[in-house]
Amino acid sequence: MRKITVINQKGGTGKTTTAVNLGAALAELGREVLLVDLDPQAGLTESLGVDTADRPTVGELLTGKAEPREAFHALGHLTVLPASPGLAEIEKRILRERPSDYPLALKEALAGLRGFDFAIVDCPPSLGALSLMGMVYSGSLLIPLQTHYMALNGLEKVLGMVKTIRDAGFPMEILGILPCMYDVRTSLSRQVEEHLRETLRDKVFRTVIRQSVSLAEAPARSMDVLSYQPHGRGAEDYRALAQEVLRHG
Amino acid sequence: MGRKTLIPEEKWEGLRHAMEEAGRVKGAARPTGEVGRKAAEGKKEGKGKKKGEKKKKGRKGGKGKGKKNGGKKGKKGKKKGKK
Repeated sequence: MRKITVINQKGGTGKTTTAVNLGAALAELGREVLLVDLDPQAGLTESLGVDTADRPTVGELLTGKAEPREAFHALGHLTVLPASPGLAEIEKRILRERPSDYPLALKEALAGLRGFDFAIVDCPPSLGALSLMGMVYSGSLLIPLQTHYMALNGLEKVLGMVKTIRDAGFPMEILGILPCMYDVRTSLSRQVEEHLRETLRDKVFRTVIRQSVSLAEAPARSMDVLSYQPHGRGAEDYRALAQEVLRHG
Repeated sequence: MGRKTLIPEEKWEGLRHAMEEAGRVKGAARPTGEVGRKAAEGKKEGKGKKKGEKKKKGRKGGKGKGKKNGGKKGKKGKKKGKK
């Protein structure tokens, strides 16, 4: 199973959109995909319309109160491990109860899981304990980056975190940086993309996620963009990203 | 007419450094283009070199190391001579 953690300290960079739609694009290609929502805001869970009212969520999994299969919500080739707002409290509790090895919590909770080709983890917009668990679980990071100036600060912080985790002995690779919300009409978008490629070379995905209304509209219908607007720009871009991820191996 | 640069070059240099620190950048991440040229020019000015492209190619090919070694050899030679 290939594991990918979608992370960026900055909010609104396209993390949840990328986790959902990359997952959907891989599922469209027949891959079995597990989407893990590690964000207490539960954006991924809500954007796919998963009801968590009577079911355990990732929080119960992390505290050993539920088994993975009890919390899974199947949507065709996509399976969602949902989150709920209570995850914020659970994060604090895990930090109190296992201060030295909390980064391993998700890895342990999902150990031995079979039947999936991909597991994609959506992290909260912070570099706190939950993000750390997500990073350690996969050891492979996809960093969506808004093609704006402020987003570059967030990227630098994530890279610093990667170094810290590697120094602590956990294997960690950067699968790629994904330029998102790209607007070809603005010179800022063009410059950020161009310089990113010059500076970070093959660590930047060839695929660029262009700004698209359909990407913002799809969650309102509890859909991924490939189902919502199959021939739109957003669907096209995420299909291209899925192909690139598959080529990466 | 050069186009207006919207993001300071230091920002890109910082990112390149952060990526190097974070792990491997395949293809040895020496910046290219405007950022790389300016960085190379800065170093050349310091060493009194005039043309950047030749030196840039040379450094990529490992000339830098050779130079360092040459310098060391020179020093060693001098020491030997003194003795």
